[in-house]
Amino acid sequence: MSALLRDLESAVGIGGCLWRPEELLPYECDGLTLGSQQAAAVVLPRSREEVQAVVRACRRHRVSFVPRGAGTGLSGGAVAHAAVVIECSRMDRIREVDAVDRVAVVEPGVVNADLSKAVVHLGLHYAPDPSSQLACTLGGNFAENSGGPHTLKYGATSRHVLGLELVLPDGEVVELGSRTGFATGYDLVGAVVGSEGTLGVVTAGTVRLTAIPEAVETLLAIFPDVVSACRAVTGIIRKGLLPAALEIVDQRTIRAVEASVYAAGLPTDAGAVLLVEIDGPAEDLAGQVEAVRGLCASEGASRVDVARDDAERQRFWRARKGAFGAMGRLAPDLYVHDAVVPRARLPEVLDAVCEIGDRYRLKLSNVFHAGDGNLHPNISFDRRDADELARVLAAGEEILRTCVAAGGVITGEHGVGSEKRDFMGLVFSEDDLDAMRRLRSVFDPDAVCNPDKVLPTPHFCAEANPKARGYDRVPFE
Amino acid sequence: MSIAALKGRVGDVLVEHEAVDVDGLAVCATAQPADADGISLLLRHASELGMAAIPCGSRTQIAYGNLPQRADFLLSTQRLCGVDDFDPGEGVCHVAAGTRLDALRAQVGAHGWRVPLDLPGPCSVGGALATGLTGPRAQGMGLPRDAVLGLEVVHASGTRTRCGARVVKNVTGYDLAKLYTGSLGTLGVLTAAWLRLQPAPAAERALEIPVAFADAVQVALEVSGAASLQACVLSTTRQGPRVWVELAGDAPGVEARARALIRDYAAREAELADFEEVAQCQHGCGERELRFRLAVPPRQLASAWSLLARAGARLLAHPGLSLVYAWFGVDAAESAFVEVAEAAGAGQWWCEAAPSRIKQGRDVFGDMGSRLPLVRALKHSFDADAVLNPGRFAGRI
Ligand SMILES: Cc1cc2nc3c(=O)[nH]c(=O)nc-3n(C[C@H](O)[C@H](O)[C@H](O)COP(=O)(O)OP(=O)(O)OC[C@H]3O[C@@H](n4cnc5c(N)ncnc54)[C@H](O)[C@@H]3O)c2cc1C
Repeated sequence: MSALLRDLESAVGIGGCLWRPEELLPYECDGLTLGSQQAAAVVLPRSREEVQAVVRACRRHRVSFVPRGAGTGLSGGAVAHAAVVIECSRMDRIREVDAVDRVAVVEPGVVNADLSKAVVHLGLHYAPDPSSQLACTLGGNFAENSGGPHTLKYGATSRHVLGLELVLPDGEVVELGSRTGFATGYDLVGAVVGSEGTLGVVTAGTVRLTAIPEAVETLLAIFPDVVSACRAVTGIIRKGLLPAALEIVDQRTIRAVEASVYAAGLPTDAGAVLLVEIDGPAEDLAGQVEAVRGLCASEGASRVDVARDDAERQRFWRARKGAFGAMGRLAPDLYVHDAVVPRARLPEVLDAVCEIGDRYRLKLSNVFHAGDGNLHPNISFDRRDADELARVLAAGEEILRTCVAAGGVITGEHGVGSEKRDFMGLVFSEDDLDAMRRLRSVFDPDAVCNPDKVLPTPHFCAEANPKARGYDRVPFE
Repeated sequence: MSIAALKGRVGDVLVEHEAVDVDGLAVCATAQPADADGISLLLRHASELGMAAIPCGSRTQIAYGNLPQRADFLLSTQRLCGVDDFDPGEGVCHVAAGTRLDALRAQVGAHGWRVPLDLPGPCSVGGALATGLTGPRAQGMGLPRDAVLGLEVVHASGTRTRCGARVVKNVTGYDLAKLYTGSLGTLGVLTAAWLRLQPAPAAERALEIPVAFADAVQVALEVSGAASLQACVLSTTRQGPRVWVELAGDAPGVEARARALIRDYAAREAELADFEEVAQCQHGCGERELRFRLAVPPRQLASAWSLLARAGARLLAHPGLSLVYAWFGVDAAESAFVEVAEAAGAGQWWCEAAPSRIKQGRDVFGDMGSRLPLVRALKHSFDADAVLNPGRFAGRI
């Protein structure tokens, strides 16, 4: 056993350190399954002190390290190449819930949905609700600044994190932010949330708990095509309405869902459905429901149903939430894209995205956070088919370029990770990226914490196809 | 060094040679470049000559901060003015940093949108974001950090960068906009911002609740949790403490909430203008006064409030934001810093306004704890020669 492994074992105990090839297998990728990487070891610390000991051991042995949560990330952010994976799943305590201050102090391994479950009896919830919330951890959410269907009204993770305890890449601990969210000096919590595990390992977070809204109405509108559903979304925003969620599911997704265990009874000939959730003071909802209904009708909705009870609400949402699972039936692999465009440009961009999918002869479907302009074109494919894989990658790049050309960006919630690192030049100038490097170098001057993620190496030419690299390592079964 | 040293090198820069007092330092000139390129050129040459600049907008909050270490000129964004991209169908706008909030409000308000920055109208957008300060309506509208979608910045070297974008959801790269918001121009001069606007509420109403001193904080905290509430202020007047609330939203919800407050708390209707007056109180400070801001979690609010009252402070609170404002007379300055730190406990405090001689030798941003080395290193990384606002920010960087 190497000296590094001995030091890691003494930091976390024998059961907390994995290094045999078969033990490392589950860690060779995250939710982005296009490639695979071999970690040096995986450690499972139980406390901040153990994280510090691991980081210090890595520093002594000049090995870099990669924080990891549940590994549901979709941009290859938690994969480690010859680095030590620091998996935070054992740090899963909710240290404190305070209903008066409306905060919870959590460890990074707490699963997103478990926090809301733990505070529901107080009439509170943790608002950010990524679709992966039954599996993903808050540490991962902090790192990715994750969003979810209700981000439209409640904001992404960043708006709900008040303080962080961070083990810096030199092993020291800093307390960022505060229990009220106000802290003197630069907004370091704001800088660390969304930094994709490159500025240190988060070992605790103080998060805001939000009152469960007094009343909720959920509408499901059926449209002849996805572009008219997009127009309805634009109309709702233009009208000054602020629903809690505005989600679109397109025809191909509807059909996949209806053929799966998530079937929600949707008409499979519908071109798209728009799910609208409105919440707030009970007195306001009737008026808003009517306004939304009218706007949907005027954009060609053939039917607008309002959930009559909680069971029906769940059924409406099943169409949305079951989408990724259902898609698994279409092909062995699913590439979940993530890009954002100005909401007013949704109809034309969606048109262009569908055209790209057709042109590359791909099974492309869309299920997305329309209210935020956050697209998720999903491509079902089989990575063993080299020709199809090449078309998937080429189409993906074209989609990103289309979104950027429309005034958008290359990721709205899944992060840059290793997936889109080399596309950063589409959005930012070399000077812009240099400012980001300055931030990173303050936290991690030796580039040992989750290296090779987020920022391209300087002067990378964005014309190259990054996905072309590393594909020989795709494990074929 | 005199700004005259830059003559002929920096293009179209208006220079006003009237001295401006910044916390006891007479700054001899105010440079007003025509645009962001002008700021870039000016800063490039100024930094090469080892000069220092204090960025400013409308100068409404120029006294906020520690004593300046040095300054050769004020760098005004006032000529960078106007909204050059605003899509009413989208609810976002691109606005130049020198634009006054009242001008921006008028422009987007005409299309049913409002600007979620709750500071007085004369403030510039750049100043509002650089200070990160806010009024009580942040409870309903969110904090300035949440309103910023993207920023354009000129760094000390003259390099221009951009972060964020015009879209409402974005995780492309580090969120530098968060770092710049509230940084008092010490990492770069903000020249423009993409802001996320909010639908203007259909109805607004103000109410006033007289309370006894002993349960003022309790009532304020209870009330401030109500739905449809966009702001809550606990003020103390000669007639005793008052809880003021401003409701906003659709008319039926606002009506119902108002009725409930009248029924449960004996609230009285008030004019929106009266509420506005109370909301503005946080900005006042007499020449012989110090104004502190404290951030204390709800659980500690009542004890902080009574401790400060016992210490003789005049008080105001925005309970929904966990903020308390306390005024002390200059004669009590020494003990005021002690009392405020004690009242803040594990929370945070700032001395927002004080005569310059009181600021001498102090850090008006309170204690940064373990964050100080990172804050210093960030400043060094972005502005190693301390060209921008040296001495003024937290940690006296
Ligand atoms: C079916 C499905 C649906 C999804 N839906 C959504 C959605 O709606 N919205 C959304 O935003 N995302 C979504 N995702 C993506 C993913 O779930 C989120 O990015 C999530 O936040 C990742 O959490 P994780 O615990 O799995 O983190 P990982 O995948 O393990 O790690 C993600 C990143 O976080 C870093 N990290 C993890 N823990 C720490 C820590 N303690 N300190 C510092 N850095 C850390 C890692 O280094 C890595 O860069 C979805 C994924 C799947 C598979």
